[in-house]
Formats: sequence, C-alpha cells, structure tokens
Amino acid sequence: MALASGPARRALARPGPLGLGGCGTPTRGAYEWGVRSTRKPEPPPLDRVYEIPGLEPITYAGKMHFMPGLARPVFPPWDPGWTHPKFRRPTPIHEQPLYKDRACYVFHHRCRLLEGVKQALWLTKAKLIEGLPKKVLSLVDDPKNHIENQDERILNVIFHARLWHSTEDTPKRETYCPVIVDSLIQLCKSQILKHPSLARRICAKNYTLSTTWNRESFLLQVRGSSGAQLNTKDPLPAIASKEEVEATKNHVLETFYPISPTIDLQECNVYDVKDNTGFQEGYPYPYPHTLYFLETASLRPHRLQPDHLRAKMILFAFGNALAQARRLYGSDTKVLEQPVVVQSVGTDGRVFQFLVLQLNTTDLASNEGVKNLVWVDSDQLLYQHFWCRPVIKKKVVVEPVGPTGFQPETFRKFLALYLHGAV
Amino acid sequence: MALRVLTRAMGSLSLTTPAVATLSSSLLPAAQVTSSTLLQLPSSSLLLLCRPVLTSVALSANFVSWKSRTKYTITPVKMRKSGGRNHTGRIQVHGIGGGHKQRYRMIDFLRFRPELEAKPGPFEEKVIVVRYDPCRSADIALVAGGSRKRWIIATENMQAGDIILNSDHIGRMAVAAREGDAHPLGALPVGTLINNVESEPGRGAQYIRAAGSGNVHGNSRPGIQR
Repeated sequence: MALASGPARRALARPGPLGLGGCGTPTRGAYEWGVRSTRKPEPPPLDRVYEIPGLEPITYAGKMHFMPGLARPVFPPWDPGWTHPKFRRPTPIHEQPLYKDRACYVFHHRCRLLEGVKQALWLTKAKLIEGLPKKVLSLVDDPKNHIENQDERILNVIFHARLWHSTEDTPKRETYCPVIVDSLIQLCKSQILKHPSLARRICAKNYTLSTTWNRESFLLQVRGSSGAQLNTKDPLPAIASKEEVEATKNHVLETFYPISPTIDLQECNVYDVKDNTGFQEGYPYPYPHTLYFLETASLRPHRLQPDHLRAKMILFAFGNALAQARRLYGSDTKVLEQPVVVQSVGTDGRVFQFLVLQLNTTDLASNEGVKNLVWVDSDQLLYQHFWCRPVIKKKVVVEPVGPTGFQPETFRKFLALYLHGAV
Repeated sequence: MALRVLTRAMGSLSLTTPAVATLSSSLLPAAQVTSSTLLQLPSSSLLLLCRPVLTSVALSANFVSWKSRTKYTITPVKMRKSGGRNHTGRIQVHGIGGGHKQRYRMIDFLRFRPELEAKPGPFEEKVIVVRYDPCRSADIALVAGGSRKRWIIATENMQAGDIILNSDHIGRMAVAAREGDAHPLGALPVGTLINNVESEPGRGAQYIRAAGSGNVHGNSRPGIQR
C-alpha cells in the first residue's frame, strides 16, 4: 500500500469508477433517465454538528450574516398563515383521508386495454358469444316493428347530421356524431304510438358510475361517465335460459400470460369503495336499459379503436349491471336468481358496435362457477362513406353528394335493441 | 490681433500627449479650431478621467438539455436536435444538422429489469408490436410483461405475439438460445450470434445495437466466439 501513489492509491482505496467494483455490482449502473444538468440541485447537506445529539450548535442566525466558523442555521419552513387558491398544493398521498394500502385498479373512459375484449372478458368473468341473441334478432326481422319510410328517414338523418346540420362544408365528428345518435333515438321514439310502454323510459346524459369488485386478489373499479344512458321503469327480462347459464360453468376464461390482467388500468391507492349507480334512491326510472358510447374525437390517434371501444362497452355495462344487482339483491356475492341484463351501443358516427350483457353472478373472486354472458355484434357499418362535396371528373358527377354503401340492417338492429323489453 | 489671440490660446494650452492633441484637433472641424481651443482641454481631460464603459457584451450560451424527463414512459417524447453544437453553442462536430423532426422513444437497454423488486427470478414478456424508430437504424419492439410495457431493440425475426425470456441465471448446461431471449454470456453456448451486449451485469446494453446492412429490419448478427 505504501508503494502505491496517486491514482493507484486512490483506486485501491475506493473501488469505483476506475473499474475495480465490488463483486457482482456494476461500477456504473444502467442509464437513469434525465441528465444530471437538468435535475434539480440537491440542497446542501447539514453541518456535521447537527449529528451530535444533545448539542446546541452555534449558528450565525443572530448575526444576520454569514460567519465562516459558525454552523449554517436550519430554520423551520415559513408558514404564511394563508394560501392563495392558485398555488395550493394537494396534501401528500399518504395523508389523504381515503388512502388505503391495497392498490385499486380503476377503469375509466380513457383507458385502452392492451388485450382489448379478451382482457375485458377476464375482468368481468364473462363468456363471449358472437352475434346478438335470437330474441333481439327476431325483433330485427319482424316487419311490424319497422317505421314507415324507414330507409328514407334514415337517409335524411344521415344527410342532416353530416351535411345540413351545420354551416361548415364538412362538419367534424364532434358535431355530427352526437347529432346522428340523437336523431336515431328520436326515430326510435316515434314508435311510442305503436308501443305505449316505450313512454316509460328516460334518457340521461352525464351520468356518473362507480362500482368495485374483487377479481382473484385484484381490486377492480369502474368509474366515470360516458355518453347517454337509457333508463326504464321495468327491468329487462333475462335472455339466456337457466340451462345455458349452468352450461357456462364448463367454460374456461382465456388468460394472456405473461401479461397481467391489470395492465393499462390506472393503479391508485386513494379511492372510495362505495357503489354508485348515478341516480339517487327513489328515482322513478331505476333500471339501466341501454348505454350509448360516442367516439367524437376528430383525430384518429385520439379515438378509441373498435376493439378498445368494445372493451370499454363491456366494462361499463358490467359496472352498471353490478351496481344494479347490488342495489336490488344486496352486496353479498352469490349467483343471481334473476339475471340483470344491460345493453350497450357504441359508435363513432359511422361504425356501430352492439352489445348485450347478462349478469348471472356476483361471485367474481374465483375463476370457476357460473360466468356472465356477453353477446357482441361488432363493426356494423351504417354507411361506407359520405361525400359532402360531389366528386366531379371531367365535368361528370362520378359520386353524388350523400352516403355510399348504405346498410339499413344496422338501423334495424339499433331499433331492435331499443324496442327490446317493451315489445 | 491674430497673434494676441494665438498667444492667449497658447497660454491656455498645457503640455498634453500627442494622442490627445490629435484627438482634440480631430474632434472639431479645422475652421473652428482657434475659437474653441479653450473648450477642447476640459472635454479631453474629462475623457481622460472617465472610467471606460462597455457598451456591448458577448451573448452567453443558454443551453439546457432536452433530456429532462426522469420517469420512464412509452409515449414518444419531444426532442431538440443539437446540430453538432455543444453546450457552449459552437459547432463541435461538423456535418450534423437538418433532417426530419423526430420524437424520442425511451428504450430500455437493461433487459433483465424485473418489474417488481420482490420477484427476482427470470421472467417472460410478450412482443406487442415491432415498429420503425427514427432515432436509430434498428427497429424497436414494444414488449409487455406483468403490468408494464417498454420498448426494446427488436432482433431480425421478431414478430408481434412472440414470447421472449429475460434471465440472469447461469446453469451448468448451456441454454438452447432462442432468438430474442436475453441470457448472461456465461449461459450461452459458444458460437451463438448475440447483440445488445453489456460490459458488466446491470450496466445496460452499450454494444452491438445498430441494424445490419441489407434488409433493414433487424439487428446485425456478428459472431462472437468465446
């Protein structure tokens, strides 16, 4: 040791940047994000005098200026006695009243699940069936349920929403999507004269929903508000029979190892566990019937993909159904005698996704037992494209103003979902 | 009379440096020299006695690095191009500059980074998508494992849906290496083609990260014989 000098002595004395690290530990760790020049400088360390317990350090606080030999004084943080509302800091997370140690995974209307529908089915313990149930399909084909001049009126609705409604040349999705959905619901409401029980419904917007459930050691919560909701005075009847419900016991839920089912859910420690249907007790229209989800963003990256939209529809419909079941039958986990049925329609103004969810059980912690059922009809185009300005090539109108590839079937399904339960 | 004026003027003049004399004579036009010789002296002495004042100053380089984000994220981050300039603002490397605007995707070069410190063993991840990265020659892959997603350098035949293994375990037998897996060099058989090598465990990959020539999709395949 005595023979070493300069850098060699320093290298022997402290293993570090010169390559002689301790066994197993790297001399320099992996890159840490944020270069040192942009990090906030650390506060200067306290004088060593403060480490000696029981000793009162002599500082230059009384002298009101720095003195080389004396210790640096430590002042308590100044409390001005009032806070400006613009600059109020929130209380630290650990001191908030609703803080809990167990993390809760919250799904809100902006979540995009990585695995989409598969993940939503695992989270809600549901089995997927392609296509709408037979009961609803029979309503679609029944000519008694059709409106007079149905096709003509739907074309008028499309023209109105996409062209006539606003003064711009090409209205944006934020304008035409809610207009189209409102007009279609208004068309459906015109059937009140034929089916008076349709009058026992109400449309609610800006509702809030909050439900919590356990799913195999994860605590999940659905929260938020999205689109419009149709509420009725009478609940929807169960669609699948008891035998079909019992048959779901054999169905095995799809897992997606190595991805965890809580990926893309917001993890938070500050949450409230109470269920909230969005309406108070004694509301005259207590049963949720259909939820309408609108994708109104004009830019494609901001819109949800169809897969993500279907997953969001499944989770929100499930949240509504679960809150309803807990309100009617209590919060203990059991298989429901009367399954709760909730429908859902999701659209971006052109493509429609239809969904019917039947909640059979509130026992969601285990993977075995009766599963819930989900019927999904995905990617139903109402029209392929809408020309706001005619395509003219060589002074000949090639494509006139209006929709191309119009499919009346989509609106018949929309109407069938609306009439389901009242017809 | 001219002589009297001149002697009066000469009397009022004192011995000054030739520089000041030339300065004072050049200040005023020649026609007015005789009448204002008396005024020249005080102004020149005032000038002599003034402290020099700087009326211009060089700009300092306001260089703040754009790399200020401390938390990892998979969303692309805006970056500022350097143009070959260093922190002083002068060109240090010539020939750099211009090009399309780019956003930086934070790549995790330490493959074996378990998500939770509680579970330290080898773990698997699934490749979600392989895409082009404007900041490097290689493509990047979004992989997801547990409840976190991260970007890594994609190897040549990596596709969406592959499962890759990250391990730090060295067994007695050499591992049958699959493409895309990450193992310590001691666990791999001699002659495997490797990339994204780190010089010591835990350091993060610093070597062999660029794309191979030819078809651009993957990483180069150098052979390392041990």
